Amino acid sequence: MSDEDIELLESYLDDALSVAEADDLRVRVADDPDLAAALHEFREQRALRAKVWQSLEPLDAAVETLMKGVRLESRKLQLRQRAQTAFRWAGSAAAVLLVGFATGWMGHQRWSTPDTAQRVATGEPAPRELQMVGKLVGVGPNAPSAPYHVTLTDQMGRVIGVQHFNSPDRAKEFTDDLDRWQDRQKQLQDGRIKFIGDEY
Amino acid sequence: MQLRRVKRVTMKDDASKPVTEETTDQLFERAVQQHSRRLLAVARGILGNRASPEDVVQQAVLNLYQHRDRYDWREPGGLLRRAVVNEALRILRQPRMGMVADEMPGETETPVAGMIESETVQQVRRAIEKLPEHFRSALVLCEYEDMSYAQIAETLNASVPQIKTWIFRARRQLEEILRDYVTGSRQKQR
Repeated sequence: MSDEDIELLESYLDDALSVAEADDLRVRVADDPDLAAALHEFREQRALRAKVWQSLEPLDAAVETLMKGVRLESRKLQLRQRAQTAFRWAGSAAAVLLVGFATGWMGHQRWSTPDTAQRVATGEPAPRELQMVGKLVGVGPNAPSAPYHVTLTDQMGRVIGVQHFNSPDRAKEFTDDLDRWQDRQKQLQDGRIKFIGDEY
Repeated sequence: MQLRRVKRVTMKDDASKPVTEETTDQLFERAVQQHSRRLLAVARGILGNRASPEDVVQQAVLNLYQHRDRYDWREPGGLLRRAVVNEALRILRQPRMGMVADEMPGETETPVAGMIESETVQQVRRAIEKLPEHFRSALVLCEYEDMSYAQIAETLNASVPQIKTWIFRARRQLEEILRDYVTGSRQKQR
């Protein structure tokens, strides 16, 4: 018998043939004793294998053991997943707080005004911020030989120079001169005055 | 295989109280309970005595449980079967660590043990265990699970012609093995 016929008979028993194919095969089997004998043998082999498949099925006790194991392990998995979710949320919240704190701290450092930090300890009035040249002048106590100093800073608040004085009056005179000089510079830039020779 | 998400919250017809997430777990457990017997048989058919079918089935269902929200547990038959088959084949492809007992505890205590566990059946079973794993898997799914060639192809990640070839060759090999057994028995009787 050919492999094709064997495959046809097996497919017929697997219910894998179309209606037309199955009808054709039944006609052939009815007319061919060899084909009929082979079909009968294949059916017997299947019946024997069906007993084998049946013997594979477990006892109720084995099923219950499986279910106990599944329940126990799935419960452990569930608790583990919940713990992981909780840790994830806590980590995210901590990260948000950290970023917020860091942003606020850096912003405070960047935007705090130098005049607050450099307020005159002797009670002198708060220095005036000069927009034109970006200098901010402050007065405060210093070393014993020249206890008073004027700190020169740029618009970013960075210290660009320090001038020392031995009295608050001299320090005040310096800051007034500096203010007048900056005003002149501003007027020059605005075009309100011109420098002719040595005079404005 | 289509994956349908089970709704986490649904409204019952006769109550306004929503169903909580525990419903997925209940569906999962019910699904495993309903299919466990056949899953264990499929696992045993594929594994032979290479590994414990209980361990394989448990691992397979727990792998699904880890992502349980992805699946529809109201119709899980194909899903569970595929998971068990894949896990069984994965175990078979590992280096051979040892054999489990050929006769599983309580095996002869089945209600039909007196009728089924004849020597012939045992011989056929041993012959099946000698088949290559993919032949054996295809045969188990075809004859025990009564699956179509297309379903078997999807489960084993193969083509339909391949499945037909595997099943055809599995049956021919069994015929050869058992013919030798039958011939040998007749010679002994003489």
